[in-house]
Amino acid sequence: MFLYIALPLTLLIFFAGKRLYAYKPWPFFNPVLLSILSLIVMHILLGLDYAEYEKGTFLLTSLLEPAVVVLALPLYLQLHLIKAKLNIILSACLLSVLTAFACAFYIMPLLGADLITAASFAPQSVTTPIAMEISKSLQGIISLTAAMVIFAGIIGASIGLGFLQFSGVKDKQAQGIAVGCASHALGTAKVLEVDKVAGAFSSIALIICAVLSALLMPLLYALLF
Amino acid sequence: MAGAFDFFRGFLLIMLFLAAGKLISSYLPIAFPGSIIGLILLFIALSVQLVKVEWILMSGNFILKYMALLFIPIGVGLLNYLELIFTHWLVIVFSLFFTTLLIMLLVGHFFQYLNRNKEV
Repeated sequence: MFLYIALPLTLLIFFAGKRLYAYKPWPFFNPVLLSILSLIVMHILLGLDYAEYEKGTFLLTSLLEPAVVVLALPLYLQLHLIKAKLNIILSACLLSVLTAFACAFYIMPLLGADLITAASFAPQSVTTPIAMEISKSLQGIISLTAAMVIFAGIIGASIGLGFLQFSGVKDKQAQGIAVGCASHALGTAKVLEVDKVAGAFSSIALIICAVLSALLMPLLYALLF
Repeated sequence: MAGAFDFFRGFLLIMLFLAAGKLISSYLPIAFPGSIIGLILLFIALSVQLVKVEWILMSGNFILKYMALLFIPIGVGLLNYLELIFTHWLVIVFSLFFTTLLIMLLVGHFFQYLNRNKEV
């Protein structure tokens, strides 16, 4: 029974969340965050079976990969802008990957993270399929990485643009790059809703960061640990 | 009617590029996601005009518009990791906020600085 209402229920909650966000645009009223939290609470309170929910919403999950392919579209449409700035985009993405690596392996251990936990954190800003491959090659816990990636995405999608504006990053293109680097496709989805140009920069940042992380993180790990 | 045709043609093309990406990915010596290869292939096809942008504009924009929705089921899947999350909660919360905000701060200011001479 729950199998068949899982998808309509998810759509209902998501669009209700969008309504609420349009009415009161507070960062933590982010429709994705609200939908996930309310569905988790419903699962716990009503004793629902996640395996059934997962099956019932298979259609949505199976669209994730095509959605990654579709990111070629905003990239192509803003090609003229990106072409002229490829060098500085690459530099910014390199900085992002090195920061993520340094945070995971040099700062988190100060808080009691062991090497395995740190390795699970390192790819937290990278889009899910690549993050899980990186985590595997660093001997991290894949499920922990998957969870981190979603949370990092939600943080960027909900407070990212506000935080950047507040901290003095007013340039729309820089905002796009920063959110794409820190919060992958989830952040990019949010930026695309707000601004097409910033969305294109966010898409390219997420792609370049994913590729750079996949190439550099295992190499750095092998050299340093 | 033309709208429906446009939509399905675009969707079919997108799936085709995904399939090609996955095929290539399965032959690579290292694990690399097929979806990203599909993205790069579609981007190249658009750039060399092998695929006209109008062909995928409608379905592409539709998927992009509702992309956020697609992450909800995976997010609900965090249910399976609750124990793991509770055990490591302090360092998880710190890593998430500290790293995410630090990356945005550094990269945002760095790019804004490099981009300061923009005229577009």
